[in-house]
Amino acid sequence: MTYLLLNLGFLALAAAVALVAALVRRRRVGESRQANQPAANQHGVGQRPVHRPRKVVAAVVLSFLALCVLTAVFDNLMIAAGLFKYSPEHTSGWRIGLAPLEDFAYVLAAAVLLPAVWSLLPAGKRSRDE
Amino acid sequence: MTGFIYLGALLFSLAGMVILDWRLKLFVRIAPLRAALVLLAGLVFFLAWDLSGIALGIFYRGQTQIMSGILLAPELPLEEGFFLLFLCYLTMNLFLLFSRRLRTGSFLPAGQAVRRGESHGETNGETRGEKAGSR
Repeated sequence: MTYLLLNLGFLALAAAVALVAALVRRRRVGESRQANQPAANQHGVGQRPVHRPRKVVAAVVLSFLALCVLTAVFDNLMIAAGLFKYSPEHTSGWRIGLAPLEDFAYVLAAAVLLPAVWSLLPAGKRSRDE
Repeated sequence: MTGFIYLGALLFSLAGMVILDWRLKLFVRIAPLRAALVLLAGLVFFLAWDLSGIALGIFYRGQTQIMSGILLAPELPLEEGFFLLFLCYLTMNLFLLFSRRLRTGSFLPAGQAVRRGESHGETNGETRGEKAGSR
């Protein structure tokens, strides 16, 4: 169970960063809505990106699912190749093939943390649309 | 030479991520500094995770012929650093690709859209330069 607990710690950190990113994003959109007059906002031409949290969440979920499929395949290959080993007393014993279920926490954290860090960093001149 | 099989496979995969990024204008190509900071943050985060796991005795390095034997830290092979970098790059490519698909309806960058059924990729590569400029 040690592995599961360790994962929970790092997942909590990733979730905290994502929460901050979501709050910052909401605030930024609020400010840009105030700056643009409501009438001018109708067609959204040449304006800052509209707040679309559901699309961000959907992209995170899709990325996570794709990463899970890849992990199920390649984690198994990597364990079969003997690249690393796990102590049985620290893992839950739930496995997908050879891959401990706990390993999937890495890709969950990646899918949650990295897009959040990306959105927290100021957009460059050429990347306003992301 | 066998000691570099895994590292070679990782570098090959990483090259695939860079090609995807460049052709589809996803991540490092559109914002090098911002992307580098995301990759750095990811690398630090996952190395800390790995080192904690190693310190707690959860996982350890296997004895295998296909790794170089160079270590970043006890039980942490050089290859793991490249694996984590690859994982972060892959994650961001996927996220930005899915975001674009949800936002614009296409996986291709603006100005590079191909009409459905007209062309499948190849011809699109040739005209990419000029079209992309007219965004």
